[in-house]
Amino acid sequence: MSMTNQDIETGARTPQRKLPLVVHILLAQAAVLLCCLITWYLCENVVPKQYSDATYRTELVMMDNNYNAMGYLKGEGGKIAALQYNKVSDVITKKPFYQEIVDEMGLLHADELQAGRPLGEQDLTAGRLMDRVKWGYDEADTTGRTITIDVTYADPAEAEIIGNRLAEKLNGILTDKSKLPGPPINQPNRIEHTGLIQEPVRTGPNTLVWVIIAGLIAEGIFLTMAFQTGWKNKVTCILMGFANLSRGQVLRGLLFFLFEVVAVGYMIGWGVGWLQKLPTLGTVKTEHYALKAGGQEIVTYGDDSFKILLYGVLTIFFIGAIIYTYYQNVKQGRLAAKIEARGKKLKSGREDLRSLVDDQFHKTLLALPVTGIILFTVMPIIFMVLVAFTNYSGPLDGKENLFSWVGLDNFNQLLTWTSAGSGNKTFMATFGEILAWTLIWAFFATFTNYFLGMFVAMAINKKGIKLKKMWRTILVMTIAIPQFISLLYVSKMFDKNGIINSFLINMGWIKDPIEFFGDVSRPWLARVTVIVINIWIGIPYLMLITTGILMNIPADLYESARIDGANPWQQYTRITLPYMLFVTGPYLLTSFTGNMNNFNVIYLLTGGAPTKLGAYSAGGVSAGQTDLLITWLFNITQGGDHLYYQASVVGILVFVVVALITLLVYSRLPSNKNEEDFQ
Amino acid sequence: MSNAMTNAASSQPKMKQHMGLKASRTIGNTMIYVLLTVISIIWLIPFVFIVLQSFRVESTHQVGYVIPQVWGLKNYTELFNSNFPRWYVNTFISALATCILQTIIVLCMSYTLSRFRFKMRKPLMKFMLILGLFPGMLSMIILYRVLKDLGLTQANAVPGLILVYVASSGMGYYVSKGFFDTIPKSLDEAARIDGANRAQVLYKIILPLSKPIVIYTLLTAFMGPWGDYVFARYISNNTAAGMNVAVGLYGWLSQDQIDKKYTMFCAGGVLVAVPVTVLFMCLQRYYVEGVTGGAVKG
Repeated sequence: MSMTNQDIETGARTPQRKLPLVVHILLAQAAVLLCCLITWYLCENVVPKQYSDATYRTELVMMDNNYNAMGYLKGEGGKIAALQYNKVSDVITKKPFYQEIVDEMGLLHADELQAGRPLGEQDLTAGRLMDRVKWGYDEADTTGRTITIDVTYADPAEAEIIGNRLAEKLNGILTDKSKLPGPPINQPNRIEHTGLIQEPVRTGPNTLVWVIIAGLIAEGIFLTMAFQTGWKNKVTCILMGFANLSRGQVLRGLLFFLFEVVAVGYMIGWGVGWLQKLPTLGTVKTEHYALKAGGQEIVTYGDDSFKILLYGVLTIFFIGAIIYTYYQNVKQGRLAAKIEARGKKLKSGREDLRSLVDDQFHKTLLALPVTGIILFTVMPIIFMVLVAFTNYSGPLDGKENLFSWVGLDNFNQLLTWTSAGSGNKTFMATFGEILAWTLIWAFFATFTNYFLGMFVAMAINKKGIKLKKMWRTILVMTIAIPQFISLLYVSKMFDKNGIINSFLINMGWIKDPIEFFGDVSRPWLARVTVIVINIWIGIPYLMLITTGILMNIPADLYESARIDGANPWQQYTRITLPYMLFVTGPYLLTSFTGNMNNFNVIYLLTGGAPTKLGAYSAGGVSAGQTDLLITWLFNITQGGDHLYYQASVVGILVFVVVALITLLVYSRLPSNKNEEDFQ
Repeated sequence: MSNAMTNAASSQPKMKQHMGLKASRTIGNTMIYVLLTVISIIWLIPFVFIVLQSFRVESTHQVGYVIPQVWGLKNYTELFNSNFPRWYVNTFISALATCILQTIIVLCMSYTLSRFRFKMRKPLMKFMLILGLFPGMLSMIILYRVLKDLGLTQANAVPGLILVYVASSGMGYYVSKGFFDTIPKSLDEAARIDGANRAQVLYKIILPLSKPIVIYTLLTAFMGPWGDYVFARYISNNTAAGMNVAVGLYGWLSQDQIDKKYTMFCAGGVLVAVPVTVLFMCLQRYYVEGVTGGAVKG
């Protein structure tokens, strides 16, 4: 949105103010005050008020002491003892009575649906209703006559109906002879309506908070306005784009205005809602309830923490974009005023468009790539970093797992996270072991390939070797074959019943097949094998890369070295190697960090096997002896309890390690040359 | 090793002169030939094996020998009764679309960073460098959820997959930026003086000169999705209809399937490898140029 006019500089005469600046600022304050008052009025009188739930009490009074609940429940022998009911609360918490009450709630729910009442805060799923009902019974009162049923519900009238129905149901259960044998009823129990024991209280967004927010926004707008000169530029502070539009710059003006419409619409319609939920990441659980008849499952979706976090973050980003665009809007207004004051012509929409393929062409070119990177790389990274501060876990598809902020807990617990099972290591210990192997792997994978690749390249390059092209082609061809085919196939060659073992047995060299990747007691066999196979994968690339560079070494360097009597080894260590290291320094660095995250080779070859005994198990995902941090992370997200927050912690730690290595090495590279040198 | 180095320097050390110039060189060269032959064999063996096994029809599980006892095309014909054609089409579509879109994006990015000097240029490059250090796999967790909400996962994985491949591809601008850096700026300036605008400079002057890098980018952008496992696995999420060949064939080597599907895996592998290898060999020259240039310029 920043459409700067390069040709405009200082020196232009700005329009004079009629009133001193102080007056403008004071007027702005008055406007802010007005805004606050309007907001206050709207909150108090126009916006529908929200109330907390009311609690309604219904009492079930046992009329016959011999026949009260306690008498039953503590009665001697029979079914009662078998059902192990000691208290009234057992009746309502243990099967089968609990189920009956739950079913009753389900029927209530069904009635609710049939009545066509809107779901939402009013919906009645059994589980949620069970949370809303509190059962009271004085256990100490041996003559215990009264059971209280407190229903907490948004609508007091509704609460009364529910309370009554539950009391009737409970009464039915307690007096049901077939279920609870006992003396006959002399006098029926009585249901009493005590009424509201807690009146609904005004809740919802605090008026004061809204007044402060409105005041701050108004302060920003009107203060900006006070500093603008000319009525057009003042209006543009409220109606974005007006400064441009009124001066005939239709395209710019419309774009600003359109942005304002979208921004305000989004913020009021959705943005504010997401932001409000962001601090808690949602509180309403998703409920499943199967109705008694028909078994049709009714699901009421609650809050989706994932979405709240995602859209909350997006909204914060969007607010940043709004502030930036607003700033640009004001700036463009001033610019236009200056140009006008100079008597020059303003850029038309057509000229603006034309500049997008000319002096602003880079913006056109970058628009798509940068948008892609922001949406598909930056946003996910921010999101995943935030996940490290939550307790997000559970199935990936789950719209139902509510999670919440846990602050720095995950990082504080790094050293103490221990999985179940005796002798298991802590998270940090296992992380340390995997990190150590990752670094060892990266070191060997990088440098074995580097030197052997260089060696092969030099062998092919040597004077007098024929069929250079053929040798190269054979190696290069293997690059083309997708790694998943070659790696999977090679991993099967090294299998227990694979070709390598068969061959070794047939030759009589070994008796029992070697388990290259499966032998828990020989982790180093698997590790060395992986490094060796990686050489097979890597040499062709390195051969290619080094061939070109080797040819670039000036021949006269060798010539003069030879004249000075340097032997070939000296030539290699004094000329070839320094030159190569100088030129390929950055490549080696990226190759090292790339190998640290070399998912394919490890995952496709061994899948992390053999198992690391006694390792920390992240929600059921254990670690393997050849697992790199990246494959471990992948497994944590894919299997077991899906402990995303731990995966996220691992990801952050990987980033820290890789960034440290890069920072330490990169600045020391000799080949850190100025890019302008190329042109 | 030092022996080869001796020869690699293509010189004749003075201290070995007693051996005779020619004899020494011949011995050295012979050793190199032996070495190269051994290397070539080692490098080609798995691929020869996989082709041989794909024609084995007497059994479908892993065996300890290489040359089939009964030859036949059964494994290939069986492929057509499996999900393989679907996977193949999925892979082909996503690779083709990715290769075109990604090339456009990469070229936009690298050309801009090479040719234009604007305020945010250096910060942008540094920012992307830092972003690249993050394990990209983590972002798949969120991208999966978002794409799922958009209905672009599982059976509809292909468009989602293309989106994932293409969207962040701007970060891989290094190699082609290195190439554009080598085209003299004076060409641009001359054209600008002649009245061409920036866009015309790109289309009329730079692009015609950039054939090697365009082909390199197309080729690598095609090969990436063709063999990708991780992203495809996330997005298809165990739904056979949305898998690509890598995810599908990987499943055939799982514990419970390998005895039935091993030779079919080999046949599938051959069908996947052959087209991309042929393509690659045809365009090998450009690939070599790109890789070599990319490594030098980091």
